[in-house]
Amino acid sequence: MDSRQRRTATKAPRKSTKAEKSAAEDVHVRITEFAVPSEAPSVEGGRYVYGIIEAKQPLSFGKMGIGGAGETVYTVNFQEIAAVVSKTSVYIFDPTRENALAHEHVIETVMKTHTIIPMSFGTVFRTDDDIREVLRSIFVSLKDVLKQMEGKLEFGLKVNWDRDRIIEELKDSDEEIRQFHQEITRKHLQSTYFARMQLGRMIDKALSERAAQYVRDIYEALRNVCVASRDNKPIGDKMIMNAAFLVERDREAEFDAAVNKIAKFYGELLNFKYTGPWPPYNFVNIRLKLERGAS
Amino acid sequence: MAKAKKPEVLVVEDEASVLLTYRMMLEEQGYIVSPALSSQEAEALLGKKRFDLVLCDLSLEQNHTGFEVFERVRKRDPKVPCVMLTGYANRETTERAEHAGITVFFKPIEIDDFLQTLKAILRNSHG
Repeated sequence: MDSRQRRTATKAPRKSTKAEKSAAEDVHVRITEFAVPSEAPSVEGGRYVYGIIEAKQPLSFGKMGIGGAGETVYTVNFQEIAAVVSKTSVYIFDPTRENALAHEHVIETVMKTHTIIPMSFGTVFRTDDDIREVLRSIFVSLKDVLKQMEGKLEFGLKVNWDRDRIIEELKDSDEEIRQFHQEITRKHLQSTYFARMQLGRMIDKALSERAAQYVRDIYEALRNVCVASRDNKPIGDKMIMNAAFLVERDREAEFDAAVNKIAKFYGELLNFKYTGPWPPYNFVNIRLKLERGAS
Repeated sequence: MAKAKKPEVLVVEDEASVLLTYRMMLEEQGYIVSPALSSQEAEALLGKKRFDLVLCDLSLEQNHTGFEVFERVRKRDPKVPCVMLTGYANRETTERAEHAGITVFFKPIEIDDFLQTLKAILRNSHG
């Protein structure tokens, strides 16, 4: 199992907090003075950027850069912030498993000692000076986001359910459904289109309500151990919850315990897929919009 | 003796409760149902596996139609049986479906007849 998915256990839709909302705002950078790396790389190559951290001095994180050549991962500093980068002779990285894992591995390593604002996979600049110019141009925004994310980690929680089991349970426990089901069975209306559609509507409504209730309860159980949460769209028809939680680094164990407790409470009824820690992907959104210089 | 493989059916319908109803009916008959609430979801599922039968409503989300789904199905595998459900198809639509070898059911369907027909279609297609 992927070490990032080691957790065993999973939040109902809580609205974004003010801090979370502001952290998730886009930071747009328009660079007009520097060429965007889209042509053949220079002799020295480009710079693959993994993320932004707070660092007053240049740092090195070892030879683990993306691209398979074991390039040193180091920082390009501007005042007290820095971009974590490695040299590369490639400007466009395919999102292969190997590349994605290399990108993640660097972020994971840096995360152990620093709060990192992750960059999107495949962010490449031409030179250290280009990177410094970006850091300079959005220094205030980066400082602000770093401050908000300081000492916080992200955890993912996906919750799946066994829909068929819930339907069977509803047929027994939901009085309205139970009675209607009995009635159409008794009157041999199983093959009647309108009766079946009516039963389907009742079950569908009950399923939606039940899912919403579970999700609310899970969020409620985790509300006091996280800083913020984000509700993403569930994937597929088995998933009822797809959330991300921002948690204080020193409350990780508490969050862990709360997730495991709620997962244990639901037992086999719900399946919790708990992952992390991750950098705050869901709470920071920095897009660097680069434009080729007129020169 | 090897157990007969349960037929895999893709059901496409943009109304969640109706989709659930078809799903329950078909699962009661032993089919493995993959539900899709939109033509996009159907497309994604079609890319993942092969279905023994595709059941789709004529009218889908926004202005999409079941014909688009059937075209994609047939492009991948011309032999997959296709069944269209509709409450208001005109002659032109019906002829188009028949011409493409798509079985049409008009709503409200007669459930026993519907299920028997699906069974026969599957039997013939594996003939």
